[in-house]
Amino acid sequence: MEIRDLLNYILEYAEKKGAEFVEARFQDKYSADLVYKNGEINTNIGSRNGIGIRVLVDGSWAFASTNKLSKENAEKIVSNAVSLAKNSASSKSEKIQLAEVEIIDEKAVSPRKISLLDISLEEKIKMIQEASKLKNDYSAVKSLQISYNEVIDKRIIFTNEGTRVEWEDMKPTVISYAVASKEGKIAGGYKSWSHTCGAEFFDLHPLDELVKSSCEKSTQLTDATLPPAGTHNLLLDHQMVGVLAHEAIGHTAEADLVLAGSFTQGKLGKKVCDERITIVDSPFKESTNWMGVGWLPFDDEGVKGKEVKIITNGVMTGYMTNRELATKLGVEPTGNARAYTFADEPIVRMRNTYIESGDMSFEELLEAIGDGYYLKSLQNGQADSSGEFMFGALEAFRITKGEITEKIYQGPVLTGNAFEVLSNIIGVGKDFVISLGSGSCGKIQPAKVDAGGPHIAVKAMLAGGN
Amino acid sequence: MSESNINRDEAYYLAQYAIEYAEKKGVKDAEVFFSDNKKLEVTCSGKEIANEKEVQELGFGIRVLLDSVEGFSYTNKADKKAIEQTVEQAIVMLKVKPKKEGIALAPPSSYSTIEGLFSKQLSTFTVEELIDSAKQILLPFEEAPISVKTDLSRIILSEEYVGIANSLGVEGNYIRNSLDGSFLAIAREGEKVGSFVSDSFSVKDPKEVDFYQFGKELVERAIRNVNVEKLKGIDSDIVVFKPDAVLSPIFIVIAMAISAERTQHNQSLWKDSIGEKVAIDGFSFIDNSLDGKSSTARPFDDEGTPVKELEIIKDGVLMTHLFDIKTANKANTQSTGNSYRGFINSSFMNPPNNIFPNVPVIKPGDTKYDEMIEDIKEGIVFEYFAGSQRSENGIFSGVAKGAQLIKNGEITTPLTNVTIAGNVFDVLKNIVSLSKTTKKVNGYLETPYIKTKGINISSQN
Repeated sequence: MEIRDLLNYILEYAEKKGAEFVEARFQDKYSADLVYKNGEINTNIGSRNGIGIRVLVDGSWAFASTNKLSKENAEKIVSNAVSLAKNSASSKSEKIQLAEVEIIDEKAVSPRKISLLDISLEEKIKMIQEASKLKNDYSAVKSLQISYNEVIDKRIIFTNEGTRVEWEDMKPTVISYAVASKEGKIAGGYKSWSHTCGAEFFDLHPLDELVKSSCEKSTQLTDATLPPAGTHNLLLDHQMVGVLAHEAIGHTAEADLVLAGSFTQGKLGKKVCDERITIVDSPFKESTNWMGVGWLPFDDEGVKGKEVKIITNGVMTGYMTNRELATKLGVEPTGNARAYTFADEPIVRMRNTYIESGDMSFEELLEAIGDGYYLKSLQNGQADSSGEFMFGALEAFRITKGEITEKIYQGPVLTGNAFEVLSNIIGVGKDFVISLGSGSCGKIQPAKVDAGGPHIAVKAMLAGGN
Repeated sequence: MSESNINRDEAYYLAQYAIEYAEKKGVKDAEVFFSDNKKLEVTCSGKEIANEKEVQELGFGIRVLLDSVEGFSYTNKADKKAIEQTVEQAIVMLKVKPKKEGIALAPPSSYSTIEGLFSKQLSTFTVEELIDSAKQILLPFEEAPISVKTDLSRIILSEEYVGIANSLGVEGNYIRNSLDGSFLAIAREGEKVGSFVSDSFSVKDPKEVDFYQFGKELVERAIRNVNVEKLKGIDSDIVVFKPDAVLSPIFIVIAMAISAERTQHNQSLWKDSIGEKVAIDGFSFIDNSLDGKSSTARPFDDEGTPVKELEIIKDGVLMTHLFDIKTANKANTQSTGNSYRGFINSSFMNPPNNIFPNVPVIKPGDTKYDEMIEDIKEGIVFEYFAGSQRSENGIFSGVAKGAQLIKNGEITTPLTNVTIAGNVFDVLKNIVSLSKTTKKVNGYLETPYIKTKGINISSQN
């Protein structure tokens, strides 16, 4: 049976079985990994497809999935899902109501100039091997790993309300990671990129530059110490700003966490931070030369993506929602329901989350900082329901009298309370970059997301050494 | 869920077909790793059940070797045509890749029978019982004196059938099941919002968990986080790591440092440390691979090598690194049976490229938890670490979550804004005591509480 016919059959069969609402989602995902590690190349090429269905029965959800695309198996998973939903319906304190949405019949293909498939895997391996030779220019570098991944993700989403959406997404990712050691001291350095684009990616970010950057960083960091702990004037690069938008504010403005009691609950319409701060989550966000990796024209409920202004000029103005939670919050669905694979149910996730640019030049920001630290290259980040967050950077440079010095530190960790830190803004830059490196986020399921913003100067706490 | 739902015969037939097809295409060394995973899951949000979910997926990862070159591809289509295409895709990669020193398929071996790997108690556990267990956990949320809610929480009944076959004659399979729960709680009183707290369990028998008590303790911890004080400053370097805090940063750095993949690629400080003292006398770390009570036990690793019990650190001395077949051949030794296809997870979608302990256990000490606290004049105890750790050099810095101040031998104030920094390799040599009691963290690491000195503690004031 053709896949669209099978999806239509699922909708009809689920309705017959008593589903009030049914959504059927087909996914076919191709992925290729090419990993160079000190002369070895590991490859992993494959594809995975299947159908995930979600039914609403007596105001209660259930989800089921299968990778066997037969009519018989479709009937089986529909029957199982309907039965599961009935099981818990009686215990619901209130029946789930889905917010009304526009019924759409649309297709989308992610932006690209050249398909990733137009360059063979063999050519890509040669490019990686060629770039890896640059390691020889760095005597302290003992280990180099270059990881390239490309994904082509095709989805078809049908609902029994009449929505029919299809999209194809193409995303390359590359990470270069070097480890250097000198006199018994050892340190790692990395550089990564991921966008929604095609093979033009290799022109935007030549592999040579990534390898050089990771080798230089690891070499520099072998002699670096942790920066002094304490409150400092800090200049944050676009990745640190992006993670501030994504982790510290973004996650806590996802409808499920808002309803669970996060610190953004009840803050709509209230001033929460400096008026120079505007934070947005958008289904499409372009930087200078590329589309953010969180490109998402429709979500996995078949809802068209809308821009969400989470904070506007310091005032909390929006939450990211799905259809169920939009009803509970009394707002419109925003197209933020995302599932990683066909075997995952959609949950509220971000897409491209960023802080809008301000009006200060880089030099003006440095001058405003005076003495402090310049934090660069995100390592990791975590936030909390209370607003407390921590973001690790790869490196920090000492700023003295408005100038960046060569004094380098490793492992700086920025920490604080989100609204407090965003209230202690020294200045917002007029530049803008959207790129969270490899663009990965984990919230039960993985997701490709992006984040960014301008350089921002802020007074905040660094966790660190003496 | 019952065993009869597993597509064992179908999977084995297709695995053998793949090996034969590869040979027909001129590749004698081929390996098929397949898994059929079935999960029944109840998710919870707010104070009630949010969704129920049933998923099942059978998939095949096919690896071919020719003249020390490796090709790999995967599919989740269980038919001959898809298997043929996947074999062909793997073979294509043989032509474009350089040689990989040491790669080989596992030779045929006999595998241990692990008692308890497949739990009969769980095989008869029904969806109604699963829902009831979730409701028991949620009951204390209803009873809480202030608003306590959950999100992204779940209880999962899973059954995993794993098989491997290769052209050297390896044929192995196992079925294991587990009941796992992972819950978080957020408490809120007016404008005061507590840090979220989380806990998990992984058992082979539902009777091992008091679901109501599990929820109650979670709720109590969440409430405790609402009224916290900022650390005003502390004149101490003494820290007690609770078990979840041992997982990260301490265990993660150890696991990376003992992987031969990392030692051979100059990414580990313990590259040349076998036989050396790396921790205090009382610190012992083992891989208890054949412990059927653990949900990560298995008779063979992801290359088909039998697993075994290993003493990795004995009384502070590093006894061995962990090897897969490739790294073992390079070091002229034997695989220790620690190969994984993923990050502590066996996925048909990955070739066997990772090395981790199967059932890691940090041995308990002889100190009661209360005794660990009572001789601390000033220090902190904390639940988990939110920060950065560098596996290469052991440096970590970040926030100590769920921290409490210890004053004059007593746990006093719940704290917020506590940051810590140190080096895991130093921590192991600065351990003051290990608790008698242990906890299984994330269904994987069994560890005691660890009291250590030499940590930089600071506040966010």
